[in-house]
Amino acid sequence: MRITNSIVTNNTKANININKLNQDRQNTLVASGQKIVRPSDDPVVAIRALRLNNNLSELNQYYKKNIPDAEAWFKTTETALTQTDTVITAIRSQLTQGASDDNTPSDRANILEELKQLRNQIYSTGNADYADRTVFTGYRTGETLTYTEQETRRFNIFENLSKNDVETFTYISGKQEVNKADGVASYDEQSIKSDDIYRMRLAYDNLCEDSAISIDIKDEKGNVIETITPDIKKLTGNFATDDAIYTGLVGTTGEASYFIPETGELILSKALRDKLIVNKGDITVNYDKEKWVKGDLKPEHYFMCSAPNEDKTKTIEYNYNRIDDDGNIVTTGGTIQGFKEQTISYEIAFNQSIDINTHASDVYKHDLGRDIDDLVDITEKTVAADEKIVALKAVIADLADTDPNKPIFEKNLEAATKERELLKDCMQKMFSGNLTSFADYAEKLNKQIANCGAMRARLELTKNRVSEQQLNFKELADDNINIDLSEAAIDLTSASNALEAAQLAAGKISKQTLLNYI
Amino acid sequence: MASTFFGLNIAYTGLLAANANVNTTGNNIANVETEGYTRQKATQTAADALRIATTYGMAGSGVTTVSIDQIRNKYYDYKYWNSQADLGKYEERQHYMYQIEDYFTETDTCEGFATIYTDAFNALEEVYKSDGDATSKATFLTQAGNLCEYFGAMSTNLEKLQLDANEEIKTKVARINSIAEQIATLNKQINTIEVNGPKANDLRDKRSLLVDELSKIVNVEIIENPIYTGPGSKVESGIYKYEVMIAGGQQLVNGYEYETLECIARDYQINQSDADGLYDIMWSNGLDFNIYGNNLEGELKGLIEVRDGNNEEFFHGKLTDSADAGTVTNKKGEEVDAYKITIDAGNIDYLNDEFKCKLADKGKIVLGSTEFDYTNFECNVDASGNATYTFTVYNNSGKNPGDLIGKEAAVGTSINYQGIPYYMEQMNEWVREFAVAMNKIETSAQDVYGDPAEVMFAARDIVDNDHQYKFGEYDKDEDSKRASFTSREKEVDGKIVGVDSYYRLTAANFQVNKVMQRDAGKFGTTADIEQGRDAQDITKKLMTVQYDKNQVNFRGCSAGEFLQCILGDIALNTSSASVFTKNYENVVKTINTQRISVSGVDNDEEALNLVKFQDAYNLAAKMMQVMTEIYDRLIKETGV
Repeated sequence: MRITNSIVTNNTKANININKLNQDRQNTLVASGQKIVRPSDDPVVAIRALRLNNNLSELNQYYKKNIPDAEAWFKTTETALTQTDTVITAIRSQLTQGASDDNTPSDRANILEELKQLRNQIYSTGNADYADRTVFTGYRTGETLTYTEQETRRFNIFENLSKNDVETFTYISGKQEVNKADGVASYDEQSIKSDDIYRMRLAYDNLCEDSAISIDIKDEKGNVIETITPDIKKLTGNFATDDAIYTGLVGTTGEASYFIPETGELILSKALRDKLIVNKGDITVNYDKEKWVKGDLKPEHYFMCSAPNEDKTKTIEYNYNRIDDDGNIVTTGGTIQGFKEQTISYEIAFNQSIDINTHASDVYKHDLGRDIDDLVDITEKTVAADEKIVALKAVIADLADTDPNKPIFEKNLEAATKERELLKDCMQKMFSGNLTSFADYAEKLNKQIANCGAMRARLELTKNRVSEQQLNFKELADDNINIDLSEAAIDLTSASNALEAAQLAAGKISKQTLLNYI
Repeated sequence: MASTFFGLNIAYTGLLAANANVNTTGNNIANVETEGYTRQKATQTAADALRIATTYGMAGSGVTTVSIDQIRNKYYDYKYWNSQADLGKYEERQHYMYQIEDYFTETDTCEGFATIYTDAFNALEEVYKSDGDATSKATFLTQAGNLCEYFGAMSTNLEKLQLDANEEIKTKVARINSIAEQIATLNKQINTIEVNGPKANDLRDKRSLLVDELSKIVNVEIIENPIYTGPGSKVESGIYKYEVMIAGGQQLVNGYEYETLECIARDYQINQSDADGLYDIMWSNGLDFNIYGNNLEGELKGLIEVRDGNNEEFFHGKLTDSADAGTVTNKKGEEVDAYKITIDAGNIDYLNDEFKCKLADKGKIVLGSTEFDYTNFECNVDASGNATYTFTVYNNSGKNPGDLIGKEAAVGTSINYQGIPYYMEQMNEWVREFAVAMNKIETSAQDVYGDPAEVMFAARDIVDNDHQYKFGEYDKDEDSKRASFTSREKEVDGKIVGVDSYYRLTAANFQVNKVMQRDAGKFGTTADIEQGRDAQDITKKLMTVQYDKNQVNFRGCSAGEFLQCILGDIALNTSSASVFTKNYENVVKTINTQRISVSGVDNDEEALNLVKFQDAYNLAAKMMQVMTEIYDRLIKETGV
């Protein structure tokens, strides 16, 4: 083949260019620290890098945001629960006190004061919030757990009870006010009676007198077997009338029930009670409540209920949880599932989520307050009887022996003493009975507190794992795209050397010409 | 007996020949760096011998310089031109693929799809954690807006690139025309010279250089045939007819005549997302220049592939029915008959899927071989997946599609390259799939006001920015909805109120519903807001869209893997364009070396020639001197 000068120069140029390109490429690699300059250099590496970066970005979200947020949430919950625990402990010490046999009237008065105080505190920590979101209220984080001021809004509430809620309750009837002028002729030892009555206590008191009250007795599957409409009996404040309401069903044979709106109690006849305590399903009571006071638990956090909206243009349904046949949530029609606990979950790692919220229905139960209400009530009555005795004794002491009213007053004192003894007995029983139930509350509460701790420990573990994963992915991503710098530096040097050699050769060749020799 | 002065003549011819050789060498040396110069050589032969009736026979009469010829091998020219066409094609592919790659590449400094998409879903996770929080919702909607903008920007970038390619096509066509004119002129000049005998070497070089350039733009074929002295004559007149064919046998230059090409801007679109005013190429004489033919190569081919490449996916089917549909006003403002034609497009996945549809809303459809304008179309897909399209068409020359029933119908043609329309279509498909999945979930939610939430993604009206197209609840699995889609806008009392079909949604007009942009509270996170503001049901469902193939299935991948799919295509195309460019650069270089090996000037060789011919000249001159001395002796001293 005939080689001309331009072939030689062309080839030399090409060689130099190839080496220059190579040097430039190595230089870019060293400068950028990455294996590829553009995806087409190595599509596999480029696409793998995308995938790894995605993973890293997600892990970052878990590690930097989701896990700390969940931790903070648990911490808030734990603090609130611990405070509640302190209140319950205080209540329990009052219970121990109240259960004792040798309380003086002044002891009882003290217990009454303490209980009233504690009653106010019991739910207040339930309004704890984390970043403006109340932690115990499920999805309704914008709502406090309890009413923080008085409010009037008529709720129609469906409360689910069970056979365990049917209780036997000792009612002392025959109480009368002391008449300091001439005594009360009819108030004697015989008039004071103690009856065992059967009742179901609803979550609230001060219910609407015109409630469309109904009791649905359901089977295990939730089908209504029977609907009972109790008689609405309003308390009047008159002892005799009220006694008649409470004891009206004692000794009757039929199935009957009374609804007392003021106290939120259902008084049952024995026959009805016997029926209910063998029922295996729920007992759903439907009633209305309109007047709310500070500290009342809001019903929408606990029950399927409905109430008009603020401007009363429509009825808002709470916790109806309607779903259609495909299981989708719908707002009208569909099947009503009723109250369900609302669980907020956070994603804390790949395919791993954690339920972060503790449900009010697990810790801030209505029973808690209502039990204390009962205790307050019985203590109040006992304290009232104590006072009655003191008052009567004072009257008798002032009377001359000849006073015609003296025997009446003495009868009254006997009656009052019997009343007090019965009440005291009742109170003692109730206090000692509640010791168990409050021990239960405390245990449940502690379980929740322990759960928070366990969850935080789990988060810590997850955090470590996510951090490890992050490290792994970073390493993978680095391995994938980053060059080995020393290797690249060596390559760069060798590319430079090759270029130098090519240039040297070019310099030599281009000088050679025949003209040098002719 | 030869003449006494015979020797002097012989010496004279030697002097002339040596002179011619020295000059030719000089010319070669002078042009050693001239581009396209072909080395020349003076051809000499021994002059005719004289019969001098002596016993020793014929007497040589010196030397004759016959001609100065180019040393050139046509075979290498042809090979060079062919590889130039391939190189041109791959170079253009590489050039544009690099740019597309740059647009889609995601680096540490430049956020791309993957970052924006992940950011959006991370923001959604913040919403999930605190659904009642208006700030986190607003943040998420902004991030979702970024995602929309990403597609808008990509769409604009690709459209600009398409226009760049289009402009370059115009420039290339202008260059072809200019080269054609110059070649035709050179043909004439060459023949004017060569008819008298001598070779017009330098003009030939110029012409070859022009063909070299032309061969890169478009594949060429050169035919050079001798012209005979007369009809039926077998005597060559010494001149040649030089013809240039391009793009597989289409005549560009015919001797002294040449044709020109013309770029005609389209007043219609073939693909839905095509830029306005793409050029079709026609011969100025009205004949068709098929830009999509398999015979085209060169830069022009590369540009057209990039501009129009549809990965062989184009609308086609069989015309099955035609019915009168009143009249329409054509582009010239005349009333013409309209027809409603039915086309059976069969069961082809990119034709029976609304998401993949890339048919322009109006344009041209070819029935058989007749071109019709269509003003709208509608598609119905039956249960087995067969698509039937109905077009409203008209034809300016009054042809009736009823005569063409059974003929093939097509919009555009199959182009076996993943060009800009292909990537546009991929983006549109993703955007539609994603929007449907998200909208389907979001429309089952309630906003914070307790009203049913609107769709999350809508299409911006390109003309009126304040207006947007919202799509109704859309269920992909529901046959009744999916089975038909149309390019027509939904009109109520003559006013356009929206569109039913996601066909209208493209990467260019993809946006977050304006209602939500203005008020984040309109974005619903739960199906029943009465459950409480932090209910997570809808947010949870929305979150699953990120990587769930069952909700968004984009080319068998999840929505999050969009970039992987697209970048995979791009990177492979780019890398193949680079590899082929490099290969053909090498091929061209090798052939060029071979060509230079034959035609190039070599310094050493010419230096040697110079010495050689100087020697020859000196010798001839010496001969002169010898003859002079002989004459001297003869005239002055012999017989005096």
